[in-house]
Amino acid sequence: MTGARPPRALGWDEGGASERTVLAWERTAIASLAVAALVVRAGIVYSLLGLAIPVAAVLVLAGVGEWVFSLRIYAEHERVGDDGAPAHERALGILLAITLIAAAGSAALAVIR
Amino acid sequence: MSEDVTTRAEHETAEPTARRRLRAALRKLHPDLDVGTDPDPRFTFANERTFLAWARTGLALIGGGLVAAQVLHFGLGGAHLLVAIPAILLGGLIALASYLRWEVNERSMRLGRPLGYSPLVRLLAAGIGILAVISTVLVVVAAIVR
Repeated sequence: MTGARPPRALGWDEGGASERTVLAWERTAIASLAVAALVVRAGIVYSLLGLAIPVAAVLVLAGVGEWVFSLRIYAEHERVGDDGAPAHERALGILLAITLIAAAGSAALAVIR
Repeated sequence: MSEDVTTRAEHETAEPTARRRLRAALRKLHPDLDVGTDPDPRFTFANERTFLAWARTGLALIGGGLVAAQVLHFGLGGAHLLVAIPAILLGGLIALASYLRWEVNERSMRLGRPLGYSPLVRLLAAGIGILAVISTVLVVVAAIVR
């Protein structure tokens, strides 16, 4: 007798998938806020606050939005079951759009200086 | 049913052509994920986390490009832009490609198909390699010119 136990069935989130996803959103929020700070700094250094502030404002709003969204995912945790998790395509699309805005604003700041 | 109720199709044909075209273009941009069956929620979350990790990589490249534009001084006119602009553009490109990748993976999982190879890793590695070469050349040239 080896004493080995039969494998037990795992619950859908015993690996902490939703918690790790929340943390990933929160890290993304921190990254958005950090890039916003860099954009504002570039605006101050180059005296281009008229361009920097709108781009930074979008990034700050994105950071706050990502943090709020991460809380929503955690609340979703209880509702998720065998039927699958929602795909969040709209949130990911908005994040993509904001990253592209940040790239365009940053490129403009670097070139116009 | 009352007479003043119009169907969606009737409403859309009454719309100006430009608005209808814009609406159709936006519908094409929106991923059609209403296919197949719901995958295991862990896979959906893992796919989302992978996209987020790429998005952060893109943001880091954008931030790095901005810092390069402010901090680097090679004494060669606008040479610092050779580092800053490609880094920023690579960041934007990675964000865009990772979204498309997320969509392809999500559809594959819903349809029970295997996930394909991601070209993003090669793109990032090549981009960083090229940035390293450009930076090295600029540093050497700046040292010789001085």
